[in-house]
Amino acid sequence: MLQNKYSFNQSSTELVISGLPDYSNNDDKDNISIISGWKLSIINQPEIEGSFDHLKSVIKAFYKCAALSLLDREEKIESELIDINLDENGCYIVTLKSTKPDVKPLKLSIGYAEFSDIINCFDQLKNFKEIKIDFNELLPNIKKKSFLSFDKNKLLFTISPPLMALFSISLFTFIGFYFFEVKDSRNKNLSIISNYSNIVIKIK
Amino acid sequence: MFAISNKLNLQHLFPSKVSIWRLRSNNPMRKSPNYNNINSKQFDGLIKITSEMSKYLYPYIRAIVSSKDNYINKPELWNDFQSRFIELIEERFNAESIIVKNLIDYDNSQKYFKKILLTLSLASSEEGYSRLRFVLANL
Repeated sequence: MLQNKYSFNQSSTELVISGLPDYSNNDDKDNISIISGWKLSIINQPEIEGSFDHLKSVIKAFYKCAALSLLDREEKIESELIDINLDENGCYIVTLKSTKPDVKPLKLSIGYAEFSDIINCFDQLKNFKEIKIDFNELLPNIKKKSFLSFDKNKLLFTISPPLMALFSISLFTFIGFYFFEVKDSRNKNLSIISNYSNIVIKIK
Repeated sequence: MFAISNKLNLQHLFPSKVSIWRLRSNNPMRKSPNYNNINSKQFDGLIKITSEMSKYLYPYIRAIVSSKDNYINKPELWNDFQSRFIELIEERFNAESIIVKNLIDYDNSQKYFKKILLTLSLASSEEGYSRLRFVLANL
């Protein structure tokens, strides 16, 4: 039985999918329902290939990363097979973990341009009718931020200046009150003495 | 934009260039904004037009993003884009507002411009319309 092979290209990226039709599902000879292999080639990067489970986790991670980037949410994407993080230069660091023992994880540094090419290739695959993959389980399930949800660091950064100002005002007020009370009591003592002195003068 | 809206059969939503211009002038950052109501169909239509336009512009968008990714080796394209974009903002937006002031600041606006280009590049594929819609619905 001959394998079918399809490739999807976008600028710097090429995705090749090979597999067989599943005749029990009434597939045509050109369809692919059983994916036997895939290969993702990015210019100036090592080729990535693996099993169908690898492909599913890679697509899932990239789609989630795209959605989070568009929503301006910085979250680490970690799974058994792939991690995606942003570095300080704004590049995506993709760590691919092999299921084979003694194989070190492969790290790739991908810019925004290559990232959008990869997403474009996956979108082409999603809309290609000859390859039957259930994409529903691969699409990101991102919960909408509730009204009450907030970033703790942002909140601290926003609230700390007015709190510090309030604290300093109250501190200065207490110090001011203390000095005022001391001065007031001194004045009272002085007036008593002067009253006495007046009385003394009157007696004389 | 008008030609693309005709291509997408959106004449019933945007019958003339003026109707598109009126929607564009809803932007509160403009010098003289208008406040018209945008219904959900027009909203969807604008997303479709944006997605379709980004398909045509993808090679240019990608080249500018690539220039920013490799800024040390080839900064020219990114610098040209940023200075032209800032010029346009200064011409059309209210430069007195703090948001616009941040936009025309060369250092602060880089991250924002890069985000715009990434959004457009991800909106340029077959899934671009649904992706852009999902993002706008979850902001």
